[in-house]
Amino acid sequence: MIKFIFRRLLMMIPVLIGVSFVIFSMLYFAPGDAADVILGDLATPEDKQLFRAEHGLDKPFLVQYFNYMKGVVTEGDLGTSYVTRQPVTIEIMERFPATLQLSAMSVFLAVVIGVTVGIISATRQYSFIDHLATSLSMIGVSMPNFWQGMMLIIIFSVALRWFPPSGFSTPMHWVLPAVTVGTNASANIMRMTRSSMLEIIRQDYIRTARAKGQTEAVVIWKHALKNALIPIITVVGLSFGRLLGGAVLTESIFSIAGVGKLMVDAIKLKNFPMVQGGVLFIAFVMSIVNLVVDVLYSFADPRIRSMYTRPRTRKAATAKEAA
Amino acid sequence: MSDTVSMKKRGQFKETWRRFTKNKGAVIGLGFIALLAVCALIPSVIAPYGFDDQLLSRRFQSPSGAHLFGTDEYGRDIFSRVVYGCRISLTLGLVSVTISCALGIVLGCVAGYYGKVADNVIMRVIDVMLSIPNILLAVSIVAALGTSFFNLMLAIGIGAVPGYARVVRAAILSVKEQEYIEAARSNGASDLRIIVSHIVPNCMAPIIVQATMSIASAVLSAAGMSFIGLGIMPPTPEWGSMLSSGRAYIRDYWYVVTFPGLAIMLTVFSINLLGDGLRDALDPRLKS
Repeated sequence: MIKFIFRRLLMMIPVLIGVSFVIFSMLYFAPGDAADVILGDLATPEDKQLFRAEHGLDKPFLVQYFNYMKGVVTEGDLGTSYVTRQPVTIEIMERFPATLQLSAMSVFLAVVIGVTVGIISATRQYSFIDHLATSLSMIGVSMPNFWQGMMLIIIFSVALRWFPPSGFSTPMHWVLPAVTVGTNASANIMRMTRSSMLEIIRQDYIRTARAKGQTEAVVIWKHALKNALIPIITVVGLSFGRLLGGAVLTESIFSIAGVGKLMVDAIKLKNFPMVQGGVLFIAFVMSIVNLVVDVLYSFADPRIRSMYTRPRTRKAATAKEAA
Repeated sequence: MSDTVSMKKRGQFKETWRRFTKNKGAVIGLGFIALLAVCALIPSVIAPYGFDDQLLSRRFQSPSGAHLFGTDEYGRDIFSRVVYGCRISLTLGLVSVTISCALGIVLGCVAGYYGKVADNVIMRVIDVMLSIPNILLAVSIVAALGTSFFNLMLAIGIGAVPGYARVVRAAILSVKEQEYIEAARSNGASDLRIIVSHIVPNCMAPIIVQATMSIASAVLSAAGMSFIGLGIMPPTPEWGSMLSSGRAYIRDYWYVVTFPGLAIMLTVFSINLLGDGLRDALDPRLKS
């Protein structure tokens, strides 16, 4: 298992180098230069030249990229924000807890709603509840996240005054953002749970479990759900990864100081080191989430687990059995 | 020869259509999309006002007979703006999907057909793109190229390429080893001919489904991009930018943001219904 995790960590390196190269070259060739943006219209050409030399912006493309990567690898330095003059790493780390908390709460909500409703729908296929749940999930998939957030604000904070409309400081503040993101993600999880369960409950071993007199609850929640888990884990992993980076809109609706909002503000100000560092950081987090998903697969499915825990060849295994 | 081919095609189309019309949801979706298409083609006939008819004396009027969806902060009729917005959202969805479809099919074909080094290189690039969240990739592209209608379509299109490349590659791998490909090759057909006239037509079903579904997500992303100010700029009546400018007034005037959002939701909803229906109709094996 350790070996497998280690190998997966090694595989992340080329992907992250690729991401950094793509994003670096995109912003390098972008029109408009940091010197113009930060120093403003009043700066003389000499001032701008000095600024460029100071930040190494006058060097050739590959040299700049190499210097940047050297900083990233050797000291985890993602550059300095042009606006606040703070290291990008520190700014991201200050904002990351809020984004992580929002994502974690939303995913928890999404899994609870999505899996429960998905199972209920699958066990009562074509019933009224099933039709209602499938239509609702279809609507959930089609709703823009940020619009749903605004509707919740209109109903629950403007009209009913139950929850505050913005901020992220107390548990009362957490409810609306988490519900916005969570219900949206639950729609996908519900659809996947339903189709995966529908496939499983037609299998022979489910009939066997019923035939030996197992109660229906155990059949569904233990025998069936265990076998339906793989595609569900995939969707959950996907939505967690997407949430971490893509809570951009929700964060801006509820004025939450998270990584998403940081990135959007940075792009508007052409604060390129911030954008670069942010994308790289999110790609890194998403790779970690993917790794965790792969590890979870092996917990959910003994067949996958055996692939990693027993790295011996089949020949060796059979030889051992024979002996 | 050509007669039998066209007859067979008509037969297949008829059969697909018959299966499609059996699905109530899909037909409703198609009907609503037709309505949107009419709005997109002749908005001036349907909308009672122009999309930028400002009149400050009629600011923030509640929905009524004269203004179905009310009026916004400049006294513009929201219903008319939603109608004009159809053209932008539909154009955006179709053009960005065309971009991603074209790029994705080429990449997927090369990766799937030639395999080995080409496959490895292309799929690693796809992996890189997949580890950047779609919206952030689009945001970075727009930040690099500048905000404009075309750049927005390009950004959203490029973000969707990995999805196509994977679908096309998987489809090609599944037909590549079939006998008819072998037969075409032994007849001396070139690689290009095999791909274009033998492989791609047989992979059309998953591509069409993927394309339909990604129009829906393109409309959603475009609205999101305009909402954070990196898409279409006011006064153009794009639904996302209407939500963005109406956002400041949600405490007092609920209708300013409710209706443009409903328009986005219904559009995406009906495209998704259509996509589900197409998937079931084009590939009956997928339906349990």
